[in-house]
Amino acid sequence: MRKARLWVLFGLGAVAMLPPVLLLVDFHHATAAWLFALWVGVIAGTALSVRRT
Amino acid sequence: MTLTALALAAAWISLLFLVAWWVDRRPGRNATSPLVYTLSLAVYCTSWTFYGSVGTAADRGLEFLPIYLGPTLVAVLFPLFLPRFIALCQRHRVSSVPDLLAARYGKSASLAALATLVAVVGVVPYIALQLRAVDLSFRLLTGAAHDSGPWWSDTSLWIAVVMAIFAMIFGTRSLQATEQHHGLVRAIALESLLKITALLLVGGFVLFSVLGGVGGFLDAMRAQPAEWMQVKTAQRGYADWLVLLVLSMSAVVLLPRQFQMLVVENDNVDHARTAAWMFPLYLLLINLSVLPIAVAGRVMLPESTSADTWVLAFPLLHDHPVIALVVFLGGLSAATGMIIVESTALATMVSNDLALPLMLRARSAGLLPLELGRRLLRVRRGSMIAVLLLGYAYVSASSEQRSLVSMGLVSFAAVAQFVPGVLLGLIWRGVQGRAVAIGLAVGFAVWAHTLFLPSVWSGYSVHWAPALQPTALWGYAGMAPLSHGVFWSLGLNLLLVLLFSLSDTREAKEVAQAEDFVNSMRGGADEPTPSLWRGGVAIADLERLLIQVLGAEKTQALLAQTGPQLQADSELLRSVESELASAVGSASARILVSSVATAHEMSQDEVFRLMAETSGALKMARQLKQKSDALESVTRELRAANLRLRELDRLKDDFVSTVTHELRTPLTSIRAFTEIMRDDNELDQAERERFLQIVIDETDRLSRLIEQVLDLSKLESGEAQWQHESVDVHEAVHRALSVLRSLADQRGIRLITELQAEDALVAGDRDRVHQLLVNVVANALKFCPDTGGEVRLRSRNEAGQIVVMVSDNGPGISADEQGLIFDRFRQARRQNTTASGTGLGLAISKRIVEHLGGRIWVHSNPGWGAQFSFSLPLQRSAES
Repeated sequence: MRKARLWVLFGLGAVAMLPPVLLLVDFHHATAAWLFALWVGVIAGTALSVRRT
Repeated sequence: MTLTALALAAAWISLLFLVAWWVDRRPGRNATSPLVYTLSLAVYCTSWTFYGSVGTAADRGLEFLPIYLGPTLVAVLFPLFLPRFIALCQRHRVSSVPDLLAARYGKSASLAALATLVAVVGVVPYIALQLRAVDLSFRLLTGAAHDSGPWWSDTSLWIAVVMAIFAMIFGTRSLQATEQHHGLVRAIALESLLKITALLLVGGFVLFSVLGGVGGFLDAMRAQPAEWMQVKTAQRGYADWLVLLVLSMSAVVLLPRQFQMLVVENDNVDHARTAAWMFPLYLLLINLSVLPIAVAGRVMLPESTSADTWVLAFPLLHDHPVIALVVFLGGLSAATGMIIVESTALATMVSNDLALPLMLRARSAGLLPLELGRRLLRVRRGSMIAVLLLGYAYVSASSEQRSLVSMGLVSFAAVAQFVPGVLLGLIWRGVQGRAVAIGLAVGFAVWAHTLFLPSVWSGYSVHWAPALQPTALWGYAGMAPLSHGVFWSLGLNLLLVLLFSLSDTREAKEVAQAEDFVNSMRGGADEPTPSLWRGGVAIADLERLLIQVLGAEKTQALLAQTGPQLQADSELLRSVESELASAVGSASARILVSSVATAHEMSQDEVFRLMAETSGALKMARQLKQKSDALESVTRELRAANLRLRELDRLKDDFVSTVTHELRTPLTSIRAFTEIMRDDNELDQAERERFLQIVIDETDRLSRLIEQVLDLSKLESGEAQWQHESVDVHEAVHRALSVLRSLADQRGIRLITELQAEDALVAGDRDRVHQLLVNVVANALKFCPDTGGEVRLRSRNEAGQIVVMVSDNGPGISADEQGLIFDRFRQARRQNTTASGTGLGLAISKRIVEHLGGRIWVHSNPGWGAQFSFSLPLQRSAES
């Protein structure tokens, strides 16, 4: 597990859910696609970061 | 249908109880697994998720999502903070958020009482939401109309009563608040499984049977107005989105039931790693059904139907009673799980932080008998009923039109008031209990004014003060009511905590606790806080107190370690206080011990001196550890260097031994033939010339060997002189072939060139490239058969390099020898050849290629020849 990786994941995830980024994708159904893809990405990133080496 | 629904509901809840009872009957064999721990955290998903998310999505699109995205972000950090946080809370026997605040801020009973009040009042709308959801689903399933008859005919009331009874059975079997309820955890895990299964089932049914599959779903989505799926619309903005994210991030840790499951019920801190991804995955899966149901409802159901009931409405409308019953059970399960855990946690807070201090006062005034233990259990049971009835009162008072989610969000905003006190208290030593109490009180008052009272009292307003309107404080009406309430309540709370923490007025115990909490969260030594009691207490008094609270058995076990002394020392006082804290909370435990102690607490000066000594010792220990780590690191490096030196020494010995052997072989031959010629005068001329030729050949071989050894030695030591010039590899190939052609012709070997590389210019040393090619081609010639031998040279460009391949049709090289072929004095034992050489040619070639930045390798199938290839970077790509 890399602590820095989790912090980066948290930071990127948080920023990607915040208004400055949402402004870019907030049209039609792009917002839903963006948020669900982000959700899956954060889960996968966390799972990879915490697996035992 | 009514009877079936009731029977199934009773059977399901009985099953949950049986699971809990069965698990609790097997002490020592009931440790939770990471999966069970994660599923128990899913108590976060209540009727709100089950029914309310579709309601929100139908009306406000993606606004249902941040409630799950916030916890996903917090879960990413679980492995970083949760193990330390759980260890800290369990060490201080913390059983709730008010208890945590009290423990951090000097065991303050008034702060704990205030926090309990905030938690109880704050969570009432959330409990009400569950009662409303169960009532709605039950009425929809049975077709019963909303009853406006006498109070005793109201379904919500009876649901509240039944839930309270279940909660009492589950949650108050023991007085120990920090005792882990493994059975309850298993039961909650089971109900989490049912609710996700039910929601996925109905989602699948709507998607495939109602909408006609994924294509139908996408068509229905496209037909909706674009604004529906946007975060910013005319009615809502990004600020509302941000507020929901912040609220859900705080709720997933600080809601009473979440704290109970996340911290109090955790029996293995390693589970945080699994929960970090599995809990968000659960949230994602349980939300997959929301959009299909919401869009189907928007397309097919009349607007008059409450969207909060759509999850159940679809199976009923399409006449699928089995799915409808499963959905009803899933929703009931979600509500029951929440109510059981929430009311258990709230009842512990009420009994420990509100009732007990009052009882102790009454006892000291002689108004109460001494029996505390049983009385506390009764208080807890009473609190559960009271909390559920408050929830019922809220349901009755709030409008029928009010959505489930809007009720829940009022509770989220209340729980967020704990964030400044908890979060700052864990990272900053300077936060003061007095400041947290002021911030919490003001935040709670503003929350009640802006969110709670308007939600329960439709005409609530402050006519006499226009600047204090609940939806437009100080005349600012630019925000939605929720964002407005959260902004002012949480903002003022935070501001006051910071302002009042600027001047230090803390008592000694608060300073010590602050040090301990912040150190622990920064990964400092997990040492118990030094005892702050001075003097002694009569053990008999202590024993009487413990028996009243913990019972005779536990008291005997606790005091069994003490010697025959009559006075308890400060260490015993600390462990007694800790044991009492696990039953009645840290603040009440402090009051209880103080009530019998003739001992006094340390003064602030004494505490500071003790802390200075402790921190001095800790600092020295840290320095020693750093030095020890540095020494270990140097030792490791020395050990590695020693190993390298030994290996080099061994290689040198091998090399000297091999060179000696290689030199001795021709020398022996030379000596033997010259002796024969000296001693045998009758040797004929032809024989003598043959022997002389052998001597000359062997002498050549010797000098070649010595030259190559010296050459290799120079290459390896880096002393070789290299020219830096442009070398045309194709030209070098032709030059090498001109040298070797006579040798090839002598043995009848065909030399074929197929040079296809368009760019053959490399940066290097012309003579070395020539040497490389001669070595490789000579090696190929050496192993070619005498009849039909063939050596083929090809070249091509590849990824900024030139690759030259030299293949022969000799016997080939076995796979295990291919890896060793470039070592010094290695010659493949190729069958059917009489080839001889120094065994250094390929080793030298490898050094040359590597010096020029390339690579050399061999491919061979034994019996089908061998192909040696090397690559060198092109000059053009090296320059660019």
